[in-house]
Amino acid sequence: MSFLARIARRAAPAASALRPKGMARAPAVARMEEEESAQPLRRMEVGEEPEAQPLRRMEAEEEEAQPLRRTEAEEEAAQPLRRMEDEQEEAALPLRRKEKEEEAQPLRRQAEEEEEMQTLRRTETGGEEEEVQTVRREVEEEAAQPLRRAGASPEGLSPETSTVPDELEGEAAPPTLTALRRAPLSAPAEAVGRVGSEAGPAAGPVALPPALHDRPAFDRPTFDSEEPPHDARFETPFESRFASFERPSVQIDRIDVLIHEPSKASAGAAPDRSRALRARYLRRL
Amino acid sequence: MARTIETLPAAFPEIRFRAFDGETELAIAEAAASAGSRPARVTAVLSAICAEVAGEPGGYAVIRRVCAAGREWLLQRAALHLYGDGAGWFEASCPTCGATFDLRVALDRVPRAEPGSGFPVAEVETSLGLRRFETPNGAHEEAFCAREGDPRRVFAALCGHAERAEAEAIRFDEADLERIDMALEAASPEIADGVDARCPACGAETMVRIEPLDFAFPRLDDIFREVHRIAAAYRWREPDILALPVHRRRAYAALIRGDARAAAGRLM
Repeated sequence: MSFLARIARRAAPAASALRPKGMARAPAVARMEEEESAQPLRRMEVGEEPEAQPLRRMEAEEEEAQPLRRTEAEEEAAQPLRRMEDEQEEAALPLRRKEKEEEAQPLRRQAEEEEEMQTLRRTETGGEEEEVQTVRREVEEEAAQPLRRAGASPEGLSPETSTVPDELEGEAAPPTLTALRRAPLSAPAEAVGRVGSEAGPAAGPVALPPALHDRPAFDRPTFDSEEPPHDARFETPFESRFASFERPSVQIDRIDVLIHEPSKASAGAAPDRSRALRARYLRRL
Repeated sequence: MARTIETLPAAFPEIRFRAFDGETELAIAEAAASAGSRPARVTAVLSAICAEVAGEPGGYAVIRRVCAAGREWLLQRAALHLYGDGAGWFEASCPTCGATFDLRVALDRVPRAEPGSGFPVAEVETSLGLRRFETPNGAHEEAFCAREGDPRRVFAALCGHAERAEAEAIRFDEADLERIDMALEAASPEIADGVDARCPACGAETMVRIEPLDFAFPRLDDIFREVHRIAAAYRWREPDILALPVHRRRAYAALIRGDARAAAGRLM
């Protein structure tokens, strides 16, 4: 390469030049050092910030409190005026009370009169009602008298006092307890029907309660030493004597089923069970 | 009327560096980072760092009068003055494969060649007759960067002693240009500005330039960072900080940085 060409090349930027080892990384290192040294300053700023907050808050509160203080000052200035107004108000109060009292007097009087009138009205209507009811009862009583008189035997006989006919003389009188027995049999049947639905499907609506089976057989015949035949073993005197007699049957047209569904909170996993029970009952019905 | 010879007769002139304070460092950094051609930046850097050149007060004028090799030598001297590491390890990138490799270069022992006889003027027998040419200096280098074409013809036009050197340069033939180049090389001093190296990765032969402007002179960012650190810590003014000797300024900056690190360590 010629001398002038070398000088020309030197004047131009170099394609490849020496640089100290690590120089390419030096700027990055310098930046890192700068960053590290700046961290404490930033941290200090951050740390000082919370400490400065109360002061700033106090300043802010001071600014916010200014209007209040100004209001207090104005309040003090306004006190004499208010006191005068209050005094005037107090002085005016008895007068106002008197005026209101006078205005209220006629109204009260009217209310008292109204109450008195109502009492009178109630008393009048009550007396009239009682009189009317007494009259009605008397009229009904008088109308019922001929019927009673027509139903009564002219000889003064009644089922209790009449004599037994000849064709019935040979027969023994029916025990008075039969009616008593029938009455408890029919009455609990309806009750059992209601309770049975609560107890479960196994208990039928007309099933006899177990307590009845355990009752003492006061109407059963006394057994001899010889065992009676099997078919007549459980015959009651009533059944043997009135074989043709039809026992009253109870027909249940409608059953009110009351389903107690436990609440969800207390049932827990019961909702499914209660739903299943309800479906079963409804299916049976 | 012939042109006057401006180049300093001293090929490698004696110099005296300026007191190295913040102002000087800032001026050097600004010169090194300035825009423009490399010769212009070299002129600016040497003007900023040299208080005296060959017994004359430093400045742009005298630096431009220094021959090309002398300027490069001054630049390497200034680099050694500021950078301090005369024989260190460097690294370079291979222009062929891009691999980075290490090499050791002794900046304080860069080979140089003394000027020939007649320096700073070379006489050349051309097709136009005997002509005198001044060895290239800083002013020639700066002017060269503003022109285009064959460097030999350009330098013939710039360095010709004749009054009509510009017009004669156009008329010089190839043989004239070759003789002018050889004559100037013989008269000029020379200094190595690069290192021949073989890339260990691809084996390519390459010439790695020694460019002190890239690494030896202070950087503006570093100066601003130190000034900022001291100003923030001590509340000093910028002129006062820049008036400090550089080693004192760096010491203060290092102390402040150490305090900051210590504070960071306490906070962690």
